[in-house]
Amino acid sequence: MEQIHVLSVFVNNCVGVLTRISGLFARRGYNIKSLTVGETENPAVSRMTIECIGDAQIITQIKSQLRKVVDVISVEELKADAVCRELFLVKVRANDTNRTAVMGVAEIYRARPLDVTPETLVFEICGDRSKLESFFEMMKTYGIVEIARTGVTAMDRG
Amino acid sequence: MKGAEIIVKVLQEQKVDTVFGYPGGTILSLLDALRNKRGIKLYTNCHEQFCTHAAEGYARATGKPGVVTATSGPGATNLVTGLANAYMDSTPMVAITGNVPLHLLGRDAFQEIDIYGVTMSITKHNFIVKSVESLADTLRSAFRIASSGRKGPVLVDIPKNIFDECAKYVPATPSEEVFPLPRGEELREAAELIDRSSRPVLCLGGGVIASNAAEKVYTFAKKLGTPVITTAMGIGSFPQDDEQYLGLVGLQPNPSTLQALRDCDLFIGAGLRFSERMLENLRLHSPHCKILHLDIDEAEIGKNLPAYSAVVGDLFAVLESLLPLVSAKAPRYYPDAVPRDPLYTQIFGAFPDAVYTTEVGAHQIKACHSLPIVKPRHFITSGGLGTMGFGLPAAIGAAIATGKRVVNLAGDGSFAMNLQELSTAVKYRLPITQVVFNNRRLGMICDLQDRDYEGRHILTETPAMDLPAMATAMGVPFVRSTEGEGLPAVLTEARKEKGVCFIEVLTDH
Repeated sequence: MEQIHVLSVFVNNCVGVLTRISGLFARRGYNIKSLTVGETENPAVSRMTIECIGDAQIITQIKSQLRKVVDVISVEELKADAVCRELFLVKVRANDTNRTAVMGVAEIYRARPLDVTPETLVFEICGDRSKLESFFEMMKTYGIVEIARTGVTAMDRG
Repeated sequence: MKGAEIIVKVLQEQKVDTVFGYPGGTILSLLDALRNKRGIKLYTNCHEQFCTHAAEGYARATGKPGVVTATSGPGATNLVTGLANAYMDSTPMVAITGNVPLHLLGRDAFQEIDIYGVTMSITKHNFIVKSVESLADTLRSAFRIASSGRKGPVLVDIPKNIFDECAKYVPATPSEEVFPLPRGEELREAAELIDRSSRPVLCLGGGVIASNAAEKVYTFAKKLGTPVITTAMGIGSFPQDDEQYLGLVGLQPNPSTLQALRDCDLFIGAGLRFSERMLENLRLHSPHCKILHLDIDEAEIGKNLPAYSAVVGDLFAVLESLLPLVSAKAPRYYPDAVPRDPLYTQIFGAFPDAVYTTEVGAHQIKACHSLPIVKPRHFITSGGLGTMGFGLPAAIGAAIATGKRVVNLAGDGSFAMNLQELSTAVKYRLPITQVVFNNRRLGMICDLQDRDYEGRHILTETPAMDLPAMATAMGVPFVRSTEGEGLPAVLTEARKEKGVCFIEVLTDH
């Protein structure tokens, strides 16, 4: 059964490593939903969080193929209850007539207004997938001007 | 010490004795440093692609990594097919390319190509060196990666200025190659599976040869009494004159192989990757047998088909551990029905100790089925990529590596792709017998067009070549047989030649 799986991939922080990983996914036809990357506490090591879609056999293949990449140090599949967070910046249409309503909805989601103009509002919101998607659906009703998503970053609990 | 000299030192550390290279602006400092260096011989071919094939021929004949070097831009891009070929066939190779000086990288300088980016997906790994201080260790890593685990080509791209800059050279001994060892649990499960099976079949791939495990495989096959089949890459991993040997899987398997597949209750695949050609045989003839997969590369397990059971590890170690765990079985034989083409067996009879290389096409398939190869590293063919033009330069590499006679079997189509390499063979006075089966067309393509396109032959006529005149022009003795007529006499003539010799076999097939 196809499902979203979240992988933490620790890689050498060197030139071309992102190309190697994304190239591997492209070449072998694996689906990436999101990919984020950043340095760890050790600047020589970067941590990639990859959300990928596939059945058990594909995910096993993805992990094995990743482990073969010389610059990959380790690959872990995160558990279903792992802490997953993503940040959205959402620019919504809002003017004098509905600004208060939009702000009210945003309040419920604990989205933070970052910028206001006579015609728009920009919110920052961080959370797990269901919260962000729900917020996104609500904002659609007011009209979304643009959205920027960071992609998921995650780690296991405990 | 200059970067170029550091490279030479590291090559000496790695016991490299042969480098195939083609000169060009950005690599000249290295070639200059390699000049007259004790223990390292430099060879050049007519084209950088042939340098890579020669390096692969060298690597597959010896098991040591082949080394190739080329200049930036077109020199580097000409390596692409050869690197891809080595990658598909898991051949250890190290390619060193020059590039434009560091300060010009990314500015589209003359003969600048991002060969690092270009070759990322067709090498096991690649590097671009950005400082002379990191040069030695990068090159050492390249050799370690190329020769460890599942082997493969590694490219090291070096901007021109780094060859000429200085750093301190600190000698190092080559690190031990790392091979994964099998896990006990997997071994026990595999042994149980084997013991419970009554009609196992053993199929051998190139991994047996790469792991130098042919002797272990032989003992294993004898203990289990299994019929043995091989892939094209596995030819030589088991003696074909043995009564347990059946033939090839893949393209056009023979009746005995198919019968064994139909009978089999456990298919043991060792050192192979279950290619789509092989899976077709299995699906058609043995859809229900269990699969035991032994391979060094974990990613191959379950990639193309779900394995019932698997052991990951270096095959030599896997078989050594597995042997005492399995019980002996009575041998099972099938009628010796390997249909061998007499043209090929006669040639083999004339050169029984030679190393054989092939080009790609109809002659290659016949060679795979017909040559009764008995030893590993005596049959070298482009298995995964199917590169026309591979054979003759590979023969050159194998002849340089072994000093033995190498017979390259070619069709006229493939020969038209690399005929200038005959001059390379002559230049180095190599013991190479070039055999061209000349049917004046691309035979295998014609077969496909007959089968799938109602016989419409498009672009399959090969250029009319006066091969005797060409051989004479290159100073190569020439003999010819038509449809195998008088072939024994032709072969007797050919055997008298100590150097390069050309045999044309005119044929309609």
